[in-house]
Amino acid sequence: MNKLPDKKNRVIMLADCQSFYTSVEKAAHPEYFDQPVVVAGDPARRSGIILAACPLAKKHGITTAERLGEALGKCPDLIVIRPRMQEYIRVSLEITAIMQTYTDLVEPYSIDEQFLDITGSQELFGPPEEIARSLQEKILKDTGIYIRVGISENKVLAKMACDNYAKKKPSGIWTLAANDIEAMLWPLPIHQMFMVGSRMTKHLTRMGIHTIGDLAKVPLSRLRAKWGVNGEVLWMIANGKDYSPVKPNTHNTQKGIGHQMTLPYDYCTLEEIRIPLLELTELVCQRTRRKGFMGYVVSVGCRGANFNKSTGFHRQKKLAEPTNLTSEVYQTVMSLFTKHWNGAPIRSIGVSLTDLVSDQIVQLDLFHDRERELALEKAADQIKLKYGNAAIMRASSLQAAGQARDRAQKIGGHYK
Amino acid sequence: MSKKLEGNGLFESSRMMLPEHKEAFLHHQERIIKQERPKLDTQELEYLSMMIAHSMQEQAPIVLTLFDEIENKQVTGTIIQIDPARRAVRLQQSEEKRWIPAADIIQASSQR
Repeated sequence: MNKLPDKKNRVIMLADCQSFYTSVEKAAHPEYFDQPVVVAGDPARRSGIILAACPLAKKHGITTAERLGEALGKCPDLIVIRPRMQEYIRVSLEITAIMQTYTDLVEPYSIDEQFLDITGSQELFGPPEEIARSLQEKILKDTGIYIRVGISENKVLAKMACDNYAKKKPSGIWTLAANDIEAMLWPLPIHQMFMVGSRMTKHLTRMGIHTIGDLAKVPLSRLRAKWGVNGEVLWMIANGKDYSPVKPNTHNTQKGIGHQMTLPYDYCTLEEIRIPLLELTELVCQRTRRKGFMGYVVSVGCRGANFNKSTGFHRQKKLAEPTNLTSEVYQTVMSLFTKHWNGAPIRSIGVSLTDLVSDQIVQLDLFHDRERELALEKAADQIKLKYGNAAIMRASSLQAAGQARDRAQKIGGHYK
Repeated sequence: MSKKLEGNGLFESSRMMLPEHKEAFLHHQERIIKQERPKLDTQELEYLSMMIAHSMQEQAPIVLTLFDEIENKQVTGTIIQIDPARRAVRLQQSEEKRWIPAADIIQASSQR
């Protein structure tokens, strides 16, 4: 197996959980151990798609993001489980905690991927692959989750080692040394590179760039001229260069508070759309108040229903005074929305409040009793905190277009 | 946008973190971030000595806040012995007696 070069280099891992949601469910339901299992959203709604499929289900040709109906067609005995997002978050953090017994440098990248810097852990716990095996065993034993580990000397290479090699090896562990990238990384097709999606693949293929190696050899100046910073980022990744730290406090920087939602059907009128906009605004303000902030900048965005022709906008406005009052933020949201919406059907919307400041300093307003309004909203917040977000809501949310009741049961658009 | 080449920018701009996951992670981190031992000034130390002496002489209940890297702890009882040599006080709790290193005491009050 490959060795990492000299000691002064960092040793970085990316650990990825195999079929995370279904693995959590299989650990909770041992009786499904040898059966094909999928986790799928509510079949009655647009979110009725496969969120995760276990390896046995994948053998039947079932893929993530396909419709539940299609999956059942391929495998009638399929076990279908409703998502439990809160539980997946809990297990993800349990895995974080296990990783933290090896190093304090653990950075979650998504619910099922975490970076580790184990440079300083080797004297205590042994060489990198031994640490990877030990992590794999311990996490499997404690949570029932099987992790795959990519090892290298920076995050970009660790990620690509995991996605392109560790996931495909029986051991689930792969080391990609920086001086092996010519042989290991460069022959791979360009779409297997980190940060290259389907659109970028099209652009690059049109430029005659088919492999990661092709991209690595393009003069940096050409990429920079074409895409600016993004071009430089691609070139760096192709050449295996990355200086990003594994930063556990990376999530501390609260730049803003925002929420977005996908609507159950396409909303076409302002009358309909204003209801979920108010609900989102309320949610954003509720969280902002709870954290003791006010925001200066209100942004609102929406995405059209037609995926082929992307429509929609994202606009923001800076207020004269910071606020966390639902009514004030909503006013700005609506004025931005009516100004920029072209009337095309809407599939998803988002609202956020940024440029946050502490709510301990308040501008007094002569003509407007903000204190009273704030007290009312805070009282509603307390009720929601204690009894859940569906305990008290605006009457408008009871209309057909309202989403608050549904959303109160969900995390990330899926059931808690 | 242009921060992708700085610090952790590449990963901060590309990650997929649910807001609820992020919050739970921050909460998890808060619990393991170790706090530093507070430095008490002479006045505070004098006050602590006074409260401890008072509890011993009057057999008055005392609540001591003990420093802990993760989370400070509170103990309630009566002081029954002061040992300057080992720099510790002995606390009589409802059932048991225990020695408490004086250095761990960061606060004392007569009630919770």
